[in-house]
Amino acid sequence: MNLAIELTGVGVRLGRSFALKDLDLKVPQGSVYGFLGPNGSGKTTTIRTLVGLLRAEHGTVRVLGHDMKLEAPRALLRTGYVPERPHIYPQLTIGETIAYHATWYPTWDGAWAQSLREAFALDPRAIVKRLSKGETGKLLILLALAQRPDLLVLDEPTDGLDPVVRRDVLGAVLDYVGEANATVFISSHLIHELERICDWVGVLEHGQMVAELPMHMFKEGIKRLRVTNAPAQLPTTPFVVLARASGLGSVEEWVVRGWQPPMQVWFDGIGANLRDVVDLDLEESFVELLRTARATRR
Amino acid sequence: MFKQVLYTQWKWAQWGLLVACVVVFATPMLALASLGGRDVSLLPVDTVVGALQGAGVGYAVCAVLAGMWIAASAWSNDQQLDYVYALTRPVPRWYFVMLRFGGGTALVAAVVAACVAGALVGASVVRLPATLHTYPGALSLRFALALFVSFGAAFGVFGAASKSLSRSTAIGLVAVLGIVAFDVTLLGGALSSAVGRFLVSRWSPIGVYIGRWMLIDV
Repeated sequence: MNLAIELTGVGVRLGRSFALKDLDLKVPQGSVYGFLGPNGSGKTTTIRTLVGLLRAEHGTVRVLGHDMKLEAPRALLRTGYVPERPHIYPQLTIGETIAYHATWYPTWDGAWAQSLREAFALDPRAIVKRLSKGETGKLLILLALAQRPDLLVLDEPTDGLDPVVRRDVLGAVLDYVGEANATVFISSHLIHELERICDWVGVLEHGQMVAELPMHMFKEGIKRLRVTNAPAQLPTTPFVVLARASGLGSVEEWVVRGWQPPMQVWFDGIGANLRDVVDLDLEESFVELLRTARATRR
Repeated sequence: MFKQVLYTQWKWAQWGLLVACVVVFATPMLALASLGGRDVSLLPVDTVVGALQGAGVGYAVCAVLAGMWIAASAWSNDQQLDYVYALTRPVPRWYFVMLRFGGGTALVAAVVAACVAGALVGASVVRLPATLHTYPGALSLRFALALFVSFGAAFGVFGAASKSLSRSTAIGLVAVLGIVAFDVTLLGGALSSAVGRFLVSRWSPIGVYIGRWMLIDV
């Protein structure tokens, strides 16, 4: 598997404590990778490390095959980056910002930038500091896309945007990915949004990866089971029980990971009855996964 | 690439730059106006030289302020954005710094050009007593050096991240205090006096500000 991003044993210190601890992360080329984690888990630190804004104290960071310690400019030439907080000069106009940004990228597609600007209804004479949040978000996506990158790194790109702008922004990203087979690394709090667009997912908690797997495995592997007559003490299970709670009457609700249909026979072996298997959406899976990770750490 | 970098720096610095150019261009005329006009051939030499010495202070102050302004405006937008845009450009960091420095140097050259023009115009219109001469070249050269020194120093200070700047300042202060303490206790202040003499000499970086800024001199 070719990797667009590869972090191996990365440690990043912010102040006196480590924000990232031996972080391993692998983003397959051509994937849309959703990067999830609660506030303060280290998502932005990870992103800032992989675009070269922070130096890893140990471990290696490779982006598009380039070691970020030695060849950051080569990687950045092929990377479109949208940071959490706008990073463009507030006193320039939109037209000046586009011209200034274009000058750094030999792959800049001026005609496409123009058509995106028109599609996003951005006035080239408008001054950046007077733009609304939505306009700024669209301008940042325009800048990242029109450089025709092989990798897009998006840190909460739709945070605070209204649904219409969000749809425009994600639509433009997905159109580009479909056309150029680029890789997208996207962090967002809007889990349902990621569920719709991502084919890989990584979950970060306290600077460490809790899970990293294809989206379909992530979603299919975590299930809610309705079980009756289960003994209080369970023998070894063929799946991981993340949570177990009483439901109505004698029904218990279990949240399990690694579920597969043939495992139903295991319940017969312990004298319990499996009543129902319920799919969880990404948000529920994410919450359950974090709950388990926290319980394990304690 | 350089053209765009220069354009942004021009945009950020333009008003201060315009003021500096006007002031530095007009200084010789203002000095002559204070003497009652461009014909000073009948005035006492001391009066003419004294008036031009006053104007010289204006040149030095303008060189310091213009250099600081050009350097500050080159970095202020990046500072405001925590250098995120600057540090994610696909060029080596030293190259980005050189582009900014180059842009600033071009703006410094614009102010120097205004100084040269003002000095040449002033020198060409004035009618002097026989014992006085004009020195537009020497004045412009001194101004260019002073402006470049203040720009260079301020560029280093404003370009540094606040954390490294405070660390370097703290280390520098401790080192200076240590040397002064050593000098006062063991050498009787000889080292401090030698450094003081060097700083006001023509060979020190600040010596250029202290000498004679004279468009008209004997």
